Amino acid sequence: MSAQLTDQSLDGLTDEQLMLSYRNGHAAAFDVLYARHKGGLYRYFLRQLGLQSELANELFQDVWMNLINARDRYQASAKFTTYLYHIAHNRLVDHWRSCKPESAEQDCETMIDEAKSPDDHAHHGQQSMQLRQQIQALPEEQRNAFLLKEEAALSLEQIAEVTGVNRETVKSRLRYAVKRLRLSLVSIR
Amino acid sequence: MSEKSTTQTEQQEIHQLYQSLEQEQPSSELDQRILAAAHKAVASTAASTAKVLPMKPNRRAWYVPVSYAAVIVISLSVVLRLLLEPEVLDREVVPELERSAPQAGRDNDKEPAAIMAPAAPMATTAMEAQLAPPESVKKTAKMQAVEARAKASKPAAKQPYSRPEMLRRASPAESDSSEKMQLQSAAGNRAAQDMTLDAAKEISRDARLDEMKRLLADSQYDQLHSKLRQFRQIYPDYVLPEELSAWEKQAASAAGD
Repeated sequence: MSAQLTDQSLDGLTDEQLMLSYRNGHAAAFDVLYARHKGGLYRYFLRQLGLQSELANELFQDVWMNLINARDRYQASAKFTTYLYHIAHNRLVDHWRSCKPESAEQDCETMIDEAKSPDDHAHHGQQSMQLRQQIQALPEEQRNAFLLKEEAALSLEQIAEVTGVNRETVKSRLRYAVKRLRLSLVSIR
Repeated sequence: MSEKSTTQTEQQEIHQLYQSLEQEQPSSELDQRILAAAHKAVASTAASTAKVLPMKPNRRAWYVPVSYAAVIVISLSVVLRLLLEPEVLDREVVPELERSAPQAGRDNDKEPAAIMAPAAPMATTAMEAQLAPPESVKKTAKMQAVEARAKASKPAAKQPYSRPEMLRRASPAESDSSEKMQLQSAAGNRAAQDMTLDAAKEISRDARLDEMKRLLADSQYDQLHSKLRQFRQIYPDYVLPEELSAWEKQAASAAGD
C-alpha cells in the first residue's frame, strides 16, 4: 500500500487494512489503529486487574509492543480485533500464572480489595461502583468473556476463538456472568 | 415472558449500565511511548532495508551506460578514422595486402584485383605518394565514398571477398588484431568501412588515369608507357578512356612490329 496515504484516507480503512499498511512501513496507519482500540484494550486490563492502573499500563504496553514486533507475521485472514485480544488474553493468562504459585488467591483478592477504596466510592454512583466490584468478583472465565463482549464487541464465535473454548461454553459463561451481575444489582435496589 | 427473552433483557440492562461507566483511557505519556516505539520500529526497518538494497541498482546504473558509451566511442573512432583518412588506408593497408596475396589477385578479373598487384612495395609506395590525390579530392572522399556505394550497389556475390576475409587470406598473423576489431564493431560500421575502402581504390585508380592523361598530353611517352604497364598489372581488365586506349593499342602494335 502506498506510503502516500493521507490521514483522511486512513480513517476510511478497516482495521485489517491499517495493520497491513503498518506492516508495509506506513507508520501513520498504526496511529489510527491505536486510537481506535486503545480505550477498549486499556479498560479490558483495568477491569480484569481491579483498577490497578500500573499493572494495567504494563500489560497494555506489552500487548502493543508484541503487536509492533510481530507486525511482519500479521495475516489479514482473521479480524484484527480478534488478533489483538488474543494477544491480550494470552498476556493476561501469563500474568495469572505468574501470580498463582505464591499464595495466588490471596494476592488476587488483595487486588480486588484495593479497588474498594473510599476514594472510588466517593467518585462514582453506588450502582456503577457495585457493577465494577461485581465484575471483579466474577470467576475469571466469566469476567473474561463478559469484558471481551463489552469492550472489544466480539461475537460469541470470536470470544471462543480468543479464549480457546467452544461457542456454547462462551454463551454459558456470558449467561452466568450477566445473571450474577444482575442479582447483585437487584440486591442493592 | 420466555426464558430467552428474559435473558436478552437482562443482558441489555447490564450492557447499558456497563456502558454508562467511566470510559478510562491510558495516559498520554503511555500513548506517546507506544506510538514512538511503533514509529521507531518502522523507521529502523526502512533504514536496514536501505542499507542492504542500494548496491544492486547502483551497479546497474553504472554498468549499462558505461558499457554503451564505451561501445559508441570505440565505434565512432574507428569509423571516423576510416572516413577522414582514406589515403592512409590506401597507402598502408592496401600495399600490405598486395604484397602478401599476389596470387589471389590474378584469379579475380574484377576491380578489387587492384589490391593484389605483385608490384614491388617500394615502387608502389613511391607511385602512390606521387599520385596522391589532390586536396580537393581528399575533402570529397567522404562524398565519393557514399556515391561509390550507391553506384556500386553491386550484389555481395560480385565482391571477391569481404574485408575481414580478405585480410585473413592476405596475412593471417598481421590481420588478427584488425579482424578482431572488425568483429567487435557493429554491422553498420563494417558496411561503412567497406564503402570507404572501395572509394579509396577508386580515388587511387582515377589518380593514375589522370596522371597518364597528363603524360600523354605532355608527350612523355616513356613515362606513360611505364605507368600504363603498372596500371595494367593492377587493373588488367579495366576499360581505359578513349585517348589512352588508342595510345595503348598503338603502343602494342608498335611493340608487335
